[in-house]
Formats: sequence, structure tokens, C-alpha cells
Amino acid sequence: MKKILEVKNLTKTFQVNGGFLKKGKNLTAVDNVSFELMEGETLCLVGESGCGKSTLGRSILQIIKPTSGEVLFDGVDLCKLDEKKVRPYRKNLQMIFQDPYASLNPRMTIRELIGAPVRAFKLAASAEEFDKKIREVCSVVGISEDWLDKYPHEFSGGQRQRIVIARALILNPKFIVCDEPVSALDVSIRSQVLNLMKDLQAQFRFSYLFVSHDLSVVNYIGDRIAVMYLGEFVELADKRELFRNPLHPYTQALLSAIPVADVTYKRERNYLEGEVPSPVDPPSGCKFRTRCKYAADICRQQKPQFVMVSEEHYAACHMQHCV
Amino acid sequence: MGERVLEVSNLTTVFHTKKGTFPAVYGIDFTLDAGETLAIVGESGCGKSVTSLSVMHLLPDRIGEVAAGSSVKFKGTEISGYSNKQMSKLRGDEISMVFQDSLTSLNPTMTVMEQMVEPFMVHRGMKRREAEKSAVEMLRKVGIPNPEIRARQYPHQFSGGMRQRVIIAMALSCNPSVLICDEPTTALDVTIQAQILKMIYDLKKEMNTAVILITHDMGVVAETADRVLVMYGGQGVEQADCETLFTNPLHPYTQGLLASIPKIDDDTRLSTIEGMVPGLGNMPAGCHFCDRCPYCTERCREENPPMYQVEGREVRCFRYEEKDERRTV
Amino acid sequence: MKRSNKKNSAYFHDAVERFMHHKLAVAGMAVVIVEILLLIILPMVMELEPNAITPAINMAPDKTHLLGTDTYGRDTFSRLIYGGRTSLKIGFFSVLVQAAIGIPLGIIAGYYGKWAEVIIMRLADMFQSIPSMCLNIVLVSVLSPSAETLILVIGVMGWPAFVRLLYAKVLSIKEKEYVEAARTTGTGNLVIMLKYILPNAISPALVAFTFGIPSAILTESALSFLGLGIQIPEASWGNMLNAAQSVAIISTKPWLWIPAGMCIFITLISVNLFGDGLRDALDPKTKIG
Repeated sequence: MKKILEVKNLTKTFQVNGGFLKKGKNLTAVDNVSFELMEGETLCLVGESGCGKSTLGRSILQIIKPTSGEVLFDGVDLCKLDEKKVRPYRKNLQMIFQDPYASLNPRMTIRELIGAPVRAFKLAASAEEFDKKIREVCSVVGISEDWLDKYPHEFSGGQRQRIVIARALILNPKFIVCDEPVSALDVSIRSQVLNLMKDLQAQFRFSYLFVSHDLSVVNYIGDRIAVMYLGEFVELADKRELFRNPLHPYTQALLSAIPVADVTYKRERNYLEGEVPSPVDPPSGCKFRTRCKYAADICRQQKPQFVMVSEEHYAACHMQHCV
Repeated sequence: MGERVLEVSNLTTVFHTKKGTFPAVYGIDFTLDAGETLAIVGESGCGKSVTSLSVMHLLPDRIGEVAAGSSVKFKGTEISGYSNKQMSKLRGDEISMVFQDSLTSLNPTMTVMEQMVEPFMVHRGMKRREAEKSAVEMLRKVGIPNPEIRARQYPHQFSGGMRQRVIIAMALSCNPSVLICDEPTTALDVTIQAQILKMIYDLKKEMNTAVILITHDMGVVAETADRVLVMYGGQGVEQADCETLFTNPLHPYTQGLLASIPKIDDDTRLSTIEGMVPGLGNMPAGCHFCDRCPYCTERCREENPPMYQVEGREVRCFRYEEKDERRTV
Repeated sequence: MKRSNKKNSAYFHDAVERFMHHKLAVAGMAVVIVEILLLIILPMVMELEPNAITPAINMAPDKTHLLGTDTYGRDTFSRLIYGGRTSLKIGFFSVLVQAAIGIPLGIIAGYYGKWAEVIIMRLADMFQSIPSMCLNIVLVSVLSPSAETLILVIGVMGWPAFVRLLYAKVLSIKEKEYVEAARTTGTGNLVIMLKYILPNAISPALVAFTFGIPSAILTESALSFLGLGIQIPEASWGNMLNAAQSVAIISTKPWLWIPAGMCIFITLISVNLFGDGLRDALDPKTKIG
């Protein structure tokens, strides 16, 4: 398999409470994250709100400029390029957003919305060609042609998400960041969209970085799963391995906290105490130690390394032997 | 189960919109016993929230209206005809409600204490000092650390999970018989959701409160409910105890819904329910689910099935007409 | 780009349809149109001599002088028509100047932030902190009063209002996901500003525009009051209103000020209604019916 994207030591720090001539505090939203993504693969990022999973997705696409680190796409470090030079790469890097209500410009028709990337890259020489491209993508995504002259508000959430997907696909990208694409949708609509996304990937072989807080969705769509906590990767593994053999105490807690729609599913509940600490002032050493029942002195003093524990299974925890 | 606290029958709510008057809830029936948790599940627009707002007399003025012939009995007393004044005596005292959005349910300009003491002073006639003591006690019960100090703070100083705890503390402060939770954990993270659901469960047991849990999350239902009412298109389509519903769903909608949820230990292809939820104004004439139902017949399109009693549960589908236990009646 | 034309005309067609369903707005527009037509046509078909001084002074309305005459014996009706031309011209074009400066600057300040924001917004602060009337007076007297000068001065002094409106709106719009989506699809900054931000930010500016017109008309009349507006003998509604400075005129010669006052009032109301309708019409979310 071909490697399509490589992220090395990516870090994004925001300044908060700063102002004119006033130095604010640093909020590290993404902290030294590295991973690789293969062609046709889906890597899922899971974590609770504020863990930096959306920021990571946006930093990779350079919508938010990362503070340091590298994003290698086609052998080129996107972080080193300014916005003008990144633009040609955007043909291959697309994004699907969480809120299908907010991600479509209400003043544009569906035709113009789906065709916006074509216009941006001037890929249609004539009106006929523009129309042909739109018709092609619509048939792939399941959009009927009489939608095209309407406006976004005339459609339901699931239909809008189809439009967003069509817009992301029209340029035949190699890599798509999906930021919670189904969490705003109803259950019966969600499965339609998830199936569509899976089918499209099988057909076109692009890679997804799929950001979600819902582990059951992630299990359905993903190949590998990365668990994030306060901006860091705490665990990364193949999904079967991760669900069967979670190594990090946070992953275990997450897994045990998801409500499962199955009355026969029995398990020991592992309640996580307390809440996520403020990312402005994270705990020393291991960031998870304040909520971890295995925490020991070493967790306070030393930051655990993100290391390969078994084959293609990475975790960052000092106490793996007890977990 | 305990004493019957709530009995809703033939509850119909209409909405007056610019385009005309449409029913949002069509003749809902359910009962609730002390100490029981009833989950009302359904997708957005199915009328689950409207149902609870109708019971509470909290429908938006001049837009929503409970139709004549609806009956809501609280501990045997008909309350659907209650005036606003009578209702506000009941609300917060005997029946209270918790909403999804904890930020807008609390007044940002008042400290938590000022808001907490209100139900004690209004419904219990307590003096300020006494009320403050009870408020702190209540906050401790819902698991807020250092309640004496935290109570003097403003809502924005609390995290989302903590705010939801405060709201639940307020709702439970007068030891209500019925607690209605409208998507209480939807805005929260899973680990916090697990904490809150456990807390509601523990308090319910301790205080023998009956809980109506309104949610779209079948996972939450499976883990907390005793009985489940599934709603679709403003109607109850199936009602059963939790275990039966999940192991043997009868209504095609319930079956489709359960099959379209991604599983945590299985990634085989999800089945879907094709089509969309019909809007308020264009409900099908027959069964509300007929356009999306794989078993739809000519009759389903023309005639709306009644609720059939099958093996101690209720289901609104012609496929179970034969088995209806009330048939002879 | 045939398709694009078709799309634009569809949008325009929808907007017209939505506008037509807004009855008050249509009425407002009708009044404005009738008013403009009257101001254009009447001088062609009637013999109007706004500046002719006749011995018939201070006459009450009668057949020859529909609205009477003023203290110099000039026909009030003629002056009302010619004054209306001047006032509407000043009102419309000075707000146009304000918007033409303010809207682009507001979008740039909001969209780019940083230095663009600091420079533009502080400049706007400066302009707004100077009592505009004083500066108006100075500028008009330096540049010598005429309709064009007034348009320029009122226009240049009034732009910060538009900057502020647009700036605030753009700040919220640029955080919307659809703007982010446009950036991920590789859309350039100019297109984003024109197609994504401007259409979604323009409605408060349209309303401000319609409010600005009567306000500019009144500014002109205030300057007239100080002798710096439209110079006598040329008429404007403003300087006609100012003729009614004494209690005697207000109580005994109502024909001298009521028509001009009514005209300003009617213009204000109908332009505002028109603006309201326009705002709703340009929003595809507005339901017809």
C-alpha cells in the first residue's frame, strides 16, 4: 500500500486571553502528534470535546496553520508553504464538516455549491463541462438533478450532508478530513450517510481522517483508531486490536462509558472520575494522571513515551504492566 | 412497581403555523409508575419533546395547543385543564423537568445558590437560611465537590457536566414524583454522560422518583430504561419493556432503527431505513411509516393502524392484527 | 458562462418574487417610484418657476399657487418639486458614497483582521470621535457649498457607520463553516469575500442605507440652517423647512413648511419599508406567503 500522508510532531498552540501588547497563556490544542496514513485507509480520531481532534484535522489541511511539525503530502511539507502555495494541493485535500446546516453558504444554489471547487480551480472550460462534472458527482452521491437550482434551506440534514460530500468529491481528492460528519444526523439517516461514505471510499480509494466522539461509528467506518486526550495521542491501533485489547486506561474508560444499544451486552462499568483538566494548564507528566486510577509517582514526574507496545499498537502509559 | 403517578391518554397536540394547523402529536397513551423509568425514543421531529412539553403545559404560547379530548392524570387528578397558576404550583414541586442545554437553563447573572434556593422557598416555604442549607445538601447529593463554595459561583464557572448536575439538583430539590429528562446528556461527552446517567439512576432509586427519559440514543435507553415508548411521526408505534423491545422488536420502524445503529463489536454493513422522516405538514394518510416500510401494503397507505396489544406489549402495525389480545372485545 | 447567467437570473427572479409578496415593501417602493417620477416629469409638463420672485408674497394656497407663496413671492409648489430633486439627489448619492467606502473597508477589516483591522477600525474611531457637524461646516465652507460638495462631505463623514456594521457581521460570518469549506476547496480570498461573505453580510447595510438617506437629507437641511447647505435661491426640502424658523410662520403660514416636512417624512417611511422588503427578498430563506 502506498503512503499518502505523513504527519510528524505536529503541534498547534493558541494564545488565549492575550490582547494588544499583552501576553496571553498558551493553550496547546495539538501536542506533538505523529502518524502515517495509507491510500484507501480510514484513520479515526476519537476523544472528548476539547481534546484537539478537530484542530488536528484542520491543522493537517492548513486551515489552521500549525505552530510546528510537518505534514508531508506527496513528499512536500505543507506547513512550510504559505496559503497561495498550498492552494494547488487543496484539490487533493478536502473536508466534510459536522454541521450540514452551517457548512453550506445559504445564498448559493446547490449547483454553485457543488461546483465551487471546480470554479476555484478553473477546471471547467465551458458551461457544458461544468454541468457534466456536476451531473457525474451527483449520480455518484445520489443527488437528483432537480435539487440543483434550489437553496440549502430547502433540504434536510441528511440531504445536505450528501451535498457536502458531493462538493468534497467533485475534484477526486486523495484525502478527506471528516469532522464528526454524522453526529448531527438522526439514527436512520446516519446509517445511510455512513454507508454512502464507505461505498465511495471503496470505489475511489481515497483516505479518510475521520474525527468522531462516537466509538461505535468509528468501529463501523474505521481501519485504525487513534485516541486523543488533551491534544496528545494516547493510543493508536487497528480497531479490532484496540477494542479487544485497549492498553491505555483512558481508552478503557471511554470504551466502558459508551452506551450500547443491546440489553444483552454485559460489562463491568469503569467510571471515570472528575473532568478533563483545562488545556491551558495541563497536569505535569502524564496528562491523564489526574483521572487515572493507576497513577503513580512516575506519572507525575515523567511524560510517558508514545511507543509501539505490540505490532502496530502504540500507547503512551507508564503503567502498562498493571493495566 | 409502585403507585401510578402519571396516566396520559389520547394526548393530541396541534401546532398552529403560518401554513395552517397540524397535529404534532397524535393521541399518545402511556402510564408511569413510581420508581419506574420510561424512555420515549424517536428521531428529531417525532414529537417526543412536544409530548413532554404538553404534559408540563410548557408549549409555546399561541403556537402549540393541547387538543380537546386529551387527558393527563397526575396521581388520579386530571391536570390537562389546569390553569397556569395551578400548573406552576405543580411544576418544580411534584413534576420537574431537565432540559438538554444546561447553559441556557441557568440564569447567567445569578449565582447557583440564588437559583437553587428558589424551589425550596417557593414550594416548601422555607426561610432563606434553611433553603441554603438544603440547597448545599442537594448539590452534595448530585456529586458537586465543595458545594458550599461552588454554590456561590456563577453558572459559567461550571463545566457542562457540572452545570447539568446543578440542573438535576434543582429539579430534584422538592423530591418530585415525576422527573422528565429531555435529552439530559446529549450535549455531554461519553465519560461525563456515564457519570450523569448513573447519578440519575442512583437518585431515582433513593427517592423513588418516576423518570421519563426523552432521548434519541438507543444506547442510553438500553442501559437505563425499564419501559420504552418508540415514537414516529407524532405517534407511539411500539411500547414494551426494555428487554423485550431490544431482543424482539415488532414494529418495522423499531426493527429498522435498531438495525441501523453501528455496533461496537461488529462492522458488517449497516442496514438503513430508506427515505426521510415526513414533515409536520405532509404526514401520509395511512400509517405514518408506510413510505419507508419494507412491508407496506395497500391498506397501510389508506388506513392508520391502531395500537394492538400483543403479548403484553403494544404495537401499531397491521401485521400484528391477528394477534391482538383485545380483538374479541 | 451561460449557466452562470441562468443561475443569477434564477436567484434574481426568486428575489423579485419574494419582494413582491412583501406588501408594505411594494407600497414603499411604489411611493418612492411615484415620487421620483413626479419630480422628473412635473417640471417638464408644468410651468414651474421655483426662483421667480413675484409681488404676490405670503399668499395662501389657491388656483395659481397650489401651495401658496413664500415671503419673496416664490411659488412653494415649484420650490417643493425642485427642492425634492436636490434633496433626493443629495440623500441618495451621499449614502452611496458612504457605502462605497464603508462596505469594502468593513469587509476587509473583518476578514483579514490584524493590521487591516487596526488601521481601518481606528480610522473609523477617529472619524466618529470628531463632531461631524463641525467638520461638515469646516469642509463645506472650505470647498464652497454646492450639491456635489455636500454629497462628498456627508459621504466621507458617514462611512464609519457602514464599516462598523459590516465589520461586526463579517466577524461572525467568517467563523461559519461554509467559509472554512470554501477555503478548503481552494477558493481565493477575493471570491470568498464577494460570494460568501458579502451576500450574507449585506442585509444590515441595506437597511442602514435606507435609514441613511433621510438622515443625509436632514444633515443637508441642518447645514442649510447655518447657510452652508444648498444656497438660496436654489431650493431643497431642508432649506424650505428652515424657512419656518419663527413661531409666527409655524402658526400662521403652514403651507410654507408642512409640504416639505411631509415630503421628508413620506420619503423616510417608504424608503425604510422598501429597505426592509429588500433585506427579506435577498434572503433565500424567506418563505413566500
